[in-house]
Amino acid sequence: MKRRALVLAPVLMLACDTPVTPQGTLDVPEGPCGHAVYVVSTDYQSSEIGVIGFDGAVLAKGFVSDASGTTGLSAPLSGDVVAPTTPTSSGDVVLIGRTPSGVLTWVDPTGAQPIRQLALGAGTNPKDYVEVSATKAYVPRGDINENTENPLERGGDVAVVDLDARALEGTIDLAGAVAKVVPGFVAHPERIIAVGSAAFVVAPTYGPGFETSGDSVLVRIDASTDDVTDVIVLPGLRGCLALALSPDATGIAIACSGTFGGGSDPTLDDGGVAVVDVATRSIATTIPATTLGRPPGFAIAWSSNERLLVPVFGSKDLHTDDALFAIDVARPEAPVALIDGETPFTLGEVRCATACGACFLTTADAVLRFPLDATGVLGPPSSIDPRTPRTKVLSPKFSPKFLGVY
Amino acid sequence: MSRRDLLVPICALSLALGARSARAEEPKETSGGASLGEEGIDVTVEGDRLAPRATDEAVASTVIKGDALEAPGASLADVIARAPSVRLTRTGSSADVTTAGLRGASTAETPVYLGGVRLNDEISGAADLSLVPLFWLKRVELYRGNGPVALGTIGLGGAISLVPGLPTHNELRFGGGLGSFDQHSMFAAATGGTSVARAGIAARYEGGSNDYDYVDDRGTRFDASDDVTRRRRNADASLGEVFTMGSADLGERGSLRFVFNTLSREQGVTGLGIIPALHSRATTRRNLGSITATVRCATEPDDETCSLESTVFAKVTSYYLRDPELELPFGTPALAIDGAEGGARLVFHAEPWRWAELDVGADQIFDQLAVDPLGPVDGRAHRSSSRAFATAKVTPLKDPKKLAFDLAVSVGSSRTGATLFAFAPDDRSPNLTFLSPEVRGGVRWQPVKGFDVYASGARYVRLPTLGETYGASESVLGNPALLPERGPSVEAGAALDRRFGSIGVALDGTFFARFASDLISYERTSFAILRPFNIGSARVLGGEFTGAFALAKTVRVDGSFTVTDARGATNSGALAPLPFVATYAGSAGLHFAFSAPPRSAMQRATIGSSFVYRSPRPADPGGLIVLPAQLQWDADAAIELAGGAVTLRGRVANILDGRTTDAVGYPLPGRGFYFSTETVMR
Repeated sequence: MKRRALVLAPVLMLACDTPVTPQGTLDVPEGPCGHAVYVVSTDYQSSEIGVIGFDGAVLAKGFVSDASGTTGLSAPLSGDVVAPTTPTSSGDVVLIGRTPSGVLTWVDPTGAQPIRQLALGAGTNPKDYVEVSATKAYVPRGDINENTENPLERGGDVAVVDLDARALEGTIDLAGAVAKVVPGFVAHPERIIAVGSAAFVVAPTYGPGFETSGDSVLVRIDASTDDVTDVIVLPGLRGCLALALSPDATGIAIACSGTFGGGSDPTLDDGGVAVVDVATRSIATTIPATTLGRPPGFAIAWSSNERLLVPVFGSKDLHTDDALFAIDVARPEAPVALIDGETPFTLGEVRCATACGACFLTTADAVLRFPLDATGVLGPPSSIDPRTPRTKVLSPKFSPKFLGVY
Repeated sequence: MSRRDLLVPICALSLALGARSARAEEPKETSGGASLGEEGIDVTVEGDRLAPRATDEAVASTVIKGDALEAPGASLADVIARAPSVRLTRTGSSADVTTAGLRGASTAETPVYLGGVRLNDEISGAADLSLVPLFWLKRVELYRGNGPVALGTIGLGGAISLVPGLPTHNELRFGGGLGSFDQHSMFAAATGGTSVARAGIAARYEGGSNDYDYVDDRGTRFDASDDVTRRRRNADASLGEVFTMGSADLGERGSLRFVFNTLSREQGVTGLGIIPALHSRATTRRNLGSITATVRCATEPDDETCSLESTVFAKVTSYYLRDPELELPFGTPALAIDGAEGGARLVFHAEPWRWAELDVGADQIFDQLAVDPLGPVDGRAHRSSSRAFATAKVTPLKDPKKLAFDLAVSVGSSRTGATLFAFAPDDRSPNLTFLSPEVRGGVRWQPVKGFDVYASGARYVRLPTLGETYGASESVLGNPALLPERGPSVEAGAALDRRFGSIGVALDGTFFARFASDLISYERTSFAILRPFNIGSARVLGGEFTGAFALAKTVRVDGSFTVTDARGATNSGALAPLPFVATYAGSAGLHFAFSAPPRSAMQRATIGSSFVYRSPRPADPGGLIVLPAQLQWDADAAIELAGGAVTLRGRVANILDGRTTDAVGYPLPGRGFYFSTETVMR
């Protein structure tokens, strides 16, 4: 689709080997899939955000990064930053700083507003963000910080954020509801999506000290009341780290990495992919990880209402590679490897913008853009590098890793 | 911080801070060459130099002694911070883990010796300087260039040698100190003996709450409105230490020297400033000692024609971490790490001709490491290292000071193994053998008195630690396929140290280049699993410049400036700045000393001030996170009363109250005041 991107002078400067400004300016009109895709590149020590169009054009390199601010007790962004699963409707580029600080960062791409931040509680490990209304967002927090003096910053819940005040408004406890269906284990919320007036959170469950794990759960929250209305157990699926909503909003796909148990070898028996029917709130399909031969990673996407894209983890210790599989939900026993032979832990997130005919996958050196036909079949990818030359040179491990849409 | 940095606290041993007086009195220094001495190696220092260097003058070195080691509240890190090319990484107070590297090298690449016993651990190779007492320390020698072969491995980053010394008088010495953050200390030391045998024993205690304030930015660096000032909690530490040293003549030709140090530290482990751990505690214990016996061929004490020296040494360390609330990132409520090292060294020294000195030696060292997260020991590894070395010093001219060449060759063989393998990537238990040849050569030319031109080159090797080879935890595995880090280094410089009447001038300039390959770096290999690989290479170029000016014994002005270009290779072949290495660093100091006539109530008074500057430096391999520049300004004063029997000292550290960090997340103390008193009875 045609799109007009105005990348102003500061952004052009950012693409060069010069220090980035605290906030670039980028005016991209909104289309059917949103404004643009933003890419979090990281070596797990620092992070940088680049912006690309749905057509694959690079709109900004180094749009905001750890070099955008001064370092004090903390780094400006940190090396553990992810983007929301769900496109933001506010038009902000939203970044979730997971560890150690637990910080939400809103960047107004137009530059009309300065960068705004909200501390969600150190040690709470916020995992995702979804705007459930114009004034409210949910943030699942995976960990608990018992030492905090502010009860709103304890974590292990879904935090409610007041978008007008940019402040924590309340929390939604999942532990009580989950304990009833997975007794003896505690839910650690991971990713979240919004479906109509509800939100669905996927949460793996762990015993004390993370030494044992239970079945993962999918929790439904009524966004109008902030109440937990359903807990859907995912039998035999553990370590569920990602979910995605089908384009027609009828199915939720969940990727589960299985149990690692503190070791390096995943247990494929506990990994796999599940598809939950939104209407009936029941599991429609389960695809065991043994079908893929490797554990699903931390991302999943729908390329159509019938086809899923699932990156899988390789392992240097087991001499297996990262790969990207396409799965026809109607024939899950025959996954197709679209990409294989990638160095372990170099493939990152996959996202699809079906209305714009493209899917994106992060790799060690670039973002791959796959053209998409109407049936959800991917064409040969083209390579996009959203990193500044500066970071490419400075850190060989600085790779595109996470994807967001605003 | 990187996961490798996170390993450092695991390896913590103990000791530091407080009033560190009871300085060993300097024996009369002699000119002459290096020899294995009272605490492993004792490199004598030439004459009354304004800027003393180790007499291994083919390499750039800095020697720190005297008043600098006595400032109250000062740690070893404070003492060496002013030397060129020193990179410090402090994680909190002087009781918290502190590491140092020289010329862009990491702590693992910079061996640190206390009394000739290597302090670097076998987990990550780190040497925790907070465990090193200034108490009873006679000298700190920083081999910024290549370290002496007789000490051990040459080291990518030179070497730091800490030389204890025994007071020369029969005396009883005691004192104590107080300071900011509830720091307090006390000590007592007794030394006695005859011209044939002398021994001393000292005991020291120090503690503190270390509860200084720091600014918690809550991770929102773009929004200062939510910043809060917090006080460190669970940062207290208490330490007890006993130091014993002695020497004795064994007949007409023999002598014996020994040093033992034992310490124990109990402390809170605070973790990151942004998410402090409130319940985690650690106990560190360390016992080390060495005994050296020397037999001379001749009966005359000054006849160094030949001698045979044997040293046995041992170090036993234990670190026990309790983290009942799992506040730290180790994922276990308890962790015990035990290390042991023992060895022996034999050196034959000969001067067969007027123009030649030879040393031929061999040593054998055993290392053992046990890691126990909770319950039975999960990892136990060991190493046996054999090494033979030879050094030759040739002085072809009549005046040996005019021109000197030296050459050192070392060939080591190391065999490692593991009896328990919980943290290895598979269940094999390979026994690995490394051959590690090292060579070092140097030349010193003195065209005119007081002016030296020197140059040296070396090829160094660093063996993987047992932790790197066999693993350190469930999430930080080992890699038995690791190769030793290695590379060449060269340096060249010139030094002037002259006195013109009552004026003394010292200038020193050195340019250096280091290259390293097969550097060990951790990579993720599986879900939440890290393993080390030989994937790095680096080169470090730089220049070091020091100067000092003295007017009689009253005024001393000194300073240093270092420029460093430290870069690591990237996949693209380009070179990127290495994290935590400042491009520019400098220091300056101004000190006055006043001596009163004999029988005055006040014997001597000193007052001085110094500052250290480090330019901004990257804190991550990507170069995006930049630590701000640091400027630390200190002042100190001392008064000796009653004929030197009583000494009062005071110090203000960080006068500007600068709030800074050496590593992201670990706040350092602000301004602090420290006082100490010391009494000596002879």
